[in-house]
Amino acid sequence: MIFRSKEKKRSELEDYGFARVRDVAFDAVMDLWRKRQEAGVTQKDIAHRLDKDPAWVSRQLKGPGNWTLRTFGALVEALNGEAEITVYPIEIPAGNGQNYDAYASILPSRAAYIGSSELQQAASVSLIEPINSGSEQRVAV
Amino acid sequence: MSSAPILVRIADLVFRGELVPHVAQSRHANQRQLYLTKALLHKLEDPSSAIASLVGSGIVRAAFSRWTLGQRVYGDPKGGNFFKRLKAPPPEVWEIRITEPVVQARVFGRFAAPDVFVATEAHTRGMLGRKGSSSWLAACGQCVQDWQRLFPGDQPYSGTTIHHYVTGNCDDFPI
Repeated sequence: MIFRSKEKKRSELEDYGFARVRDVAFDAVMDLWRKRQEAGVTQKDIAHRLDKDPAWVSRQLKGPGNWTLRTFGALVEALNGEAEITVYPIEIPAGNGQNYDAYASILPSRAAYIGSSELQQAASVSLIEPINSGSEQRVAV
Repeated sequence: MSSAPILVRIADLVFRGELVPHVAQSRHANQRQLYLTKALLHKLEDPSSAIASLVGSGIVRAAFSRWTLGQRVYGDPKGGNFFKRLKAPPPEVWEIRITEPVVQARVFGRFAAPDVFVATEAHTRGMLGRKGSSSWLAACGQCVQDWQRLFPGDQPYSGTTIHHYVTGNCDDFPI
């Protein structure tokens, strides 16, 4: 037995979808935040740009919280970033050359468990630095 | 210490239905392993459980997917970490901290090997009370008992830094 999306109830689907998207948004912001930190940007700088209390910024960057799209957008702008959102069909494997499967030795036939799903899609959020850095992060939900 | 014997044991427990792997549905392959006990699975599937009704099973499963999909294990020297090793005794009891929504959850478990976590139980944060309370101690003790039942004679994996437990995509934070 393995968790499958089709076994989830409607409220669980909502919760799962919300939390996954929230996590992807958080990770994307944090990826850019780490780069900005290395360049000397501080939480105080972000707070100043947003006219917020530094404690508010600290809370937002501590872990995936109850962000609204407004919070997400504010942090993206304060970090001088740009968000791109793509929702992928889940049945199309990511073309990132990553074929390591942690369960391969334990569940050699696990493909049998992963059939059709109510969640036939995956989302990703990318934050692209506007200044020619060439870096981009994509994480699928 | 080789982790091979304990991984063989896990495979056997999965075959016998004693442990259930959390395999996240994704376009990406799962990068880390997570196994749930039947008791924990029951809590997630029972709509009347405190975890399902107050926290939301979907929220908990999303945290599990963060782990298995190899996404960032976030942490900060000031706290707010995804994973936390609880103060011994007993040794090597960890929690996955689910701090949103308002009713928080803690998932207890132990590492069988680097990037391989066995989750034994989940509790609402409110039920556990203050750190060091009898409820916390009981939850830690239950985790150890569950481990010993599943892996008689096997010790959990032990390391000295978070990077011994999580080999990639992990913040540097003290444990």
